[in-house]
Amino acid sequence: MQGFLAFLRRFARSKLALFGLVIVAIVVFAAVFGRWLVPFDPFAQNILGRLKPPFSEARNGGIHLLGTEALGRDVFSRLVIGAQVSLLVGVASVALSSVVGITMGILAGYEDKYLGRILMGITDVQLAIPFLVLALAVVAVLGPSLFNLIMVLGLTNWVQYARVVRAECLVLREREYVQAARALGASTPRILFRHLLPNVMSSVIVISSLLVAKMILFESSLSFLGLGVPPSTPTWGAMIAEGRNYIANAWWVAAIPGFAIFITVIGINLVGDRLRDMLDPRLKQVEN
Amino acid sequence: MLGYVASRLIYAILVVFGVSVAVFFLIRIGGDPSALFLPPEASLEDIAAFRTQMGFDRPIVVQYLDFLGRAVQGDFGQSLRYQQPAMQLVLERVPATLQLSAAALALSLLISIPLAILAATHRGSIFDRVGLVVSLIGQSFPTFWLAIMLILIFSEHLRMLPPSGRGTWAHLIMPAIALAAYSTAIITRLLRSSMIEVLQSDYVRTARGKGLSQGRVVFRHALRNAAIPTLTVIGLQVGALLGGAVITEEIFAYPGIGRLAIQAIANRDFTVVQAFVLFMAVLIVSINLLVDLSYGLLDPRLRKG
Amino acid sequence: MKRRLATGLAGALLCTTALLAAFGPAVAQEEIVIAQANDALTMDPAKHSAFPTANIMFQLYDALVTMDGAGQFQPALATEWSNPEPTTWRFKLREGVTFHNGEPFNAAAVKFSFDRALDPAFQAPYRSRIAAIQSVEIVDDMTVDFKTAAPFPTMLFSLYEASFAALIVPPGYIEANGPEALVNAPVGTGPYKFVEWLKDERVVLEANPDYWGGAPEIERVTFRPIKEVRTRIAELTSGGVDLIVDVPPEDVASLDQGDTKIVTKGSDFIYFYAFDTLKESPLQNKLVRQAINYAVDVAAIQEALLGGLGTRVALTLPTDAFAYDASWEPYPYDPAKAKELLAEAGYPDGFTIPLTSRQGRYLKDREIMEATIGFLAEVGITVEPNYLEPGVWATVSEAKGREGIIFPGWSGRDPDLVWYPLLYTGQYQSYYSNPELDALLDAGRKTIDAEERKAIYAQAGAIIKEEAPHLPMLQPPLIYAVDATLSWEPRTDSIINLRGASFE
Repeated sequence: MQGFLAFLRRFARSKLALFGLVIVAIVVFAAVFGRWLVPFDPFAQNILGRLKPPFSEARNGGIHLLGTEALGRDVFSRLVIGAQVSLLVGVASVALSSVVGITMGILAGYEDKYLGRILMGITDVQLAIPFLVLALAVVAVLGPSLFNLIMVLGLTNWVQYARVVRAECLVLREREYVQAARALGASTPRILFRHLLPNVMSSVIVISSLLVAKMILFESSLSFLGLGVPPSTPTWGAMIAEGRNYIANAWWVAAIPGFAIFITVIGINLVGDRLRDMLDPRLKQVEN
Repeated sequence: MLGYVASRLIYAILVVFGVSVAVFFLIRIGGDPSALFLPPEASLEDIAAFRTQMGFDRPIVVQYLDFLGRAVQGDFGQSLRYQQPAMQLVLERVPATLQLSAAALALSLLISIPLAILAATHRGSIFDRVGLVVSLIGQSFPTFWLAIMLILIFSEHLRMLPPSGRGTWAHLIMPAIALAAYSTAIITRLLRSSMIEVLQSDYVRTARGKGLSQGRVVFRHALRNAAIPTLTVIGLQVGALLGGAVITEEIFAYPGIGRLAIQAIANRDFTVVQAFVLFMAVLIVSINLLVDLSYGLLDPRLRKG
Repeated sequence: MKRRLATGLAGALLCTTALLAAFGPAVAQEEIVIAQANDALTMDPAKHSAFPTANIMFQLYDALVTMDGAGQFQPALATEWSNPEPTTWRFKLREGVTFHNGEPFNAAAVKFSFDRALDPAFQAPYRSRIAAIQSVEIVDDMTVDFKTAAPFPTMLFSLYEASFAALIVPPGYIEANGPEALVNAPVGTGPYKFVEWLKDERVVLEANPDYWGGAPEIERVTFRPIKEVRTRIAELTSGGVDLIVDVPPEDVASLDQGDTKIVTKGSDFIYFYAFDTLKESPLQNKLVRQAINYAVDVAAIQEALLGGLGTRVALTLPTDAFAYDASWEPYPYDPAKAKELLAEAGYPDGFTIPLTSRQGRYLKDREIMEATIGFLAEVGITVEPNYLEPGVWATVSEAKGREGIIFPGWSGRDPDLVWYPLLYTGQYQSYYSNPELDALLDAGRKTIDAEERKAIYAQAGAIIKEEAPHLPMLQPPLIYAVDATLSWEPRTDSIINLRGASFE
C-alpha cells in the first residue's frame, strides 16, 4: 500500500498524466456503476421521438441530456452503457492478446532452437497479413457478437507482446539467477513462470495500457465496416458508425460518442506514456 | 554474408508460404461465394452445379495444392466477380495506393521531423507542447471519423476540395491528411524520445565538447542515430498503416487496392483476396527483409543469426 | 463548373437552339456524372450479378423488351410479340438497328446472345433468370421464336434489361475478337458508346448519335463508384456529380432545395418478415403469426424511419405487381388484439424467438428490424436478433439454417416470381408449407392466360392473408438526389435509364 501510494505520488508529478488518470477514472466509474446511474433505459425505443436535440423533454417526463438517436433511445444513457461495452472490448481483448503474446514470447525466448523459431515464424506470418482480412475471416466464421469481436481483436494483436517479451527473455535467461535456478534442477515451467514472467511484467503493463486505447479505436473501425458488435449493443464505435448517417441534421448522435472515444483514448495514452516513462525507460520502441 | 542473405531469403519465402496457407483456409471457413454470386431465386441445384464448376466441392487441401501449383507459375486464378485475372486486378490498383501512401508519408515526415527536432532540442517549450498535442490528437481520432469531418468541412461547407476520386493533387489532400494523422503522431513521439536519448549520450557530449555547433550535432549525429529505431518501427507497422488506407480509400472513393480488398472480402471473391494478401505479404516481408539485411550490414555479429 | 457554364451558354442560345430543334434532330449536349456505390465489374452484360454494373450496361446495350416508368413492358429491340402456342414466344425484331461497330442487328444476333448466355460452360451468373428458355429459333432474318418446355407466363421478365443476360450482344464482334472481347471493350446497340473504364475510378460513355430510339440529349455520361453516402452527398452539393443513388430519408429535406432536388420512386422490392413454420416453435401457430402482424406498427416505422416514403403492402407482393389487388388490406396495428391472440394461442406471457437477418444491405434495414423488435417487446415477445454478415447469410440460408423470424428482402413483379420461391413447399427460400396454396401456385405458373392467372392468385392471396406466413411491410423508396436542372425518370426496378434524360 505504501509503495502504491508512493508510486501514485510519483505518477502525479506529471500534471498531464494526472489529467489522463482522471479521465480514465471517470470512464471506469461510468462503466462499472453506469447501469444504476442512467436516467433512461438505454434500449427503450420511441421511434416517433427520434433524433431529438440535447436537452429535449422526454415523452414521460425527464430530459434527454444529450438528445435521442435514430430510434428515439437516450444518447446519454447509451453513452454510459457504451463505456462499459467499449472498455470491456478494450480490456478483454488486451488480456487475451497479452496471454497469447506473452506465452509465445516466453517460450520463444527460453528455447530459441526449434520451437522458438517456429513461434517467431508465426509472428512474422501474422505481421504480414493485413489485420482486416483476419478480422473478417473470424467474424464471418463466428458471426458478429461481443465475444467474437474480443476474440478477433485479441488474436490479431499479440505480436508486439511476443516480440518484446522474447527479446527480454533472451537477455534474462543468461542472468545468473536463472542459470542458478536451472543448475539447481528447477523445471522448465517453473523457470518460465517464477523467474522469467515477473521480470517482463513492467513491459507488459506499458504495452497493455497503450494497446487498450488502440483496441477501442479498432473496435470503432470494425463497427464502421459493419464487422463490429451486433447493432443493438451500444459501443461508442457502433454509435458513431450509425450516427454518421444523420450528421447533417442530428450532429449529436455521432459527435458525442466520437468525442467520448477521443477523450478516453487521450486519457489512456497519457497514463500509458507516464507508465512507460516510469517503469521502463528503455521501452521507447513499444509503439502501437 | 551471402549465406546470411540466402538464409534470410529462404525464411522470407517460408513466411509468405505460411501466409498463403493461413489466408487460403481462413477465408474459406466463412462459406463460399456461390449463394452470394447467383441471383436469390437460384435453386439449390443451380448452386450445387456452380460449386462443382468452380471446384468448391473438392477437399480443401486439394483446392489448396491446386492453387499453390498455379501460383508458383504466376497464375493466381480468375476473379469470380470481375472474371479477370486476380493478380492483375490487384496490380492495376497498386500505383494509386502507392501515390496516396507516399503523399501521406511525405506529409507526416514534413510535420513530424521538424516538430520532433524542435521538441527534443527545446524540451518544455511551446514546440514540445505542440508536439505532444499533435501526437496525442493524431493517435486518438478514429480514421473514419476524421475523414468524414474533413469532407464535411472542406467539401460540403467550404467547397475548397473535391471530396472523392483521383486525378489532381487536390484530390490527394484530404485522404493524405486522414491517412497521415496516425503515423505523424507515432513518428513525432518516437523521434522525439530517441532524439532526447541520443542527445544525452556520451558521444554527442563529446562532439559538443569538441566545439561542434548545435546544428551540426543535431543533424549530423543525433537525427541520424535517432532515425534508426524510428524506421524499424515504421517498417514493422507497414501492414497496420495499409489497414488505415483501406478505410481512407473507402471513404474518399479512392481507387486503390484497399477498396478492392474490402469488396473482395465482402463478396468472398477468394482469388482476389488471396492475390491481395499475398501481394501485401511479399511487400511487408520484403521491407522487413531489407531492414534485417541493413542490420546485418551494420552489425556483423548478427550475420550468423 | 463546366456544365454550369454550358447551361448558361445554352440559355443564351435558347432561341437559336429552339429554332434548330424545330427543323433538325435534337442537338445532343452536356455531360452527366452519376455516383453509385460500386464500380462496374465487367462490360460484358451476361457476366455479372450486380445492379451497379447493370446500370452501366443498360446505357450500352438493349434487350428485346423494356420497361417504362409505370412498370409496363414496351417494345425495344423487338417491336411486337405473340404466342403462336403456349410454349412459344414469337418476337418481331426492329428493322435498321446496328451495333456501335456497324454490325447489323438481326435474328442471328438474338440467337447468338441467348445461346452464349445459356451455355453452362459460359457460367452466366444470372443464367437461372433465362434458364426456362429451351431454345431460340430463327424464323426469318427479323423473327425469332423462344421455346419453353412448359407454358412460361413470366417470359417478358426474363427478356427485359433486369434479366442481365438478356441484353443483346454483337456476334460478329465476339467471333472476330474472342469470347473475352466485351469484358473491356463493349459494343452494343444502346444510346451510349463506350469511351473508357478506369477501374474503381470511372466509366465514361458518349452519345450514340445513330441510336434507334433517337440520339440522346446528354452528350457524355460518367459513372463514378462512391461507397460512402456522406461522400456522395458532398460530391453532389459541391457540384462534382449530378445524380446520386441511395440518399438517406433524413437528407431529403436538405437536398431538395437550391441547386439540387430529390427524385423518388417506390421500388419493386419488398421488405417483409418470414416466419419459420417448418421447425418447432410458437410460429407454427397461425394465431401467433397473426398476432405479430397486429403488433407491429408498420405505418409508424414508415413515417419515422423512411420519412413517410415508400409504399405499404398488404401482402408480400409489390403493389405494381401482376395480380396485386388494390382492395387487399394489411392487418391493422392493434397491440391489444395481438395480446388477445397470443393468449388464445396459449402464450399469455409471450415467448422468446430468434430473428435472423443481415444488416446494412438495404435502406434502413437495421433500424427497421430494431424498431420491430421494440414493437414485439411491447406485446411480450422477446426477440433475440442474430445479424449475419451477408456472405454468411447466403450460406446459412442455403443450409436452411435461418431460424424464427427472418428478414430476407425480395423483389419480383409477378406472384410466380415472389410467392412460388417464398411459399411453395420445399423451395429452399420457403419456410412454409400448405398443399392448398401449392396447388394454386402450380396452376398459376402453368397458364399464360392473364385473366385466369389473376383469378388463381386472388384465391392464393386470400389464403396468404389468413394464414399469415409473413409479416408484409412495405416497398422501400428509391431516393435519388440530382442536379436541379436534370429531367430524368427513375424506375421501380432501380435500373438507371438515361434514354430521354436531359438538362433543362
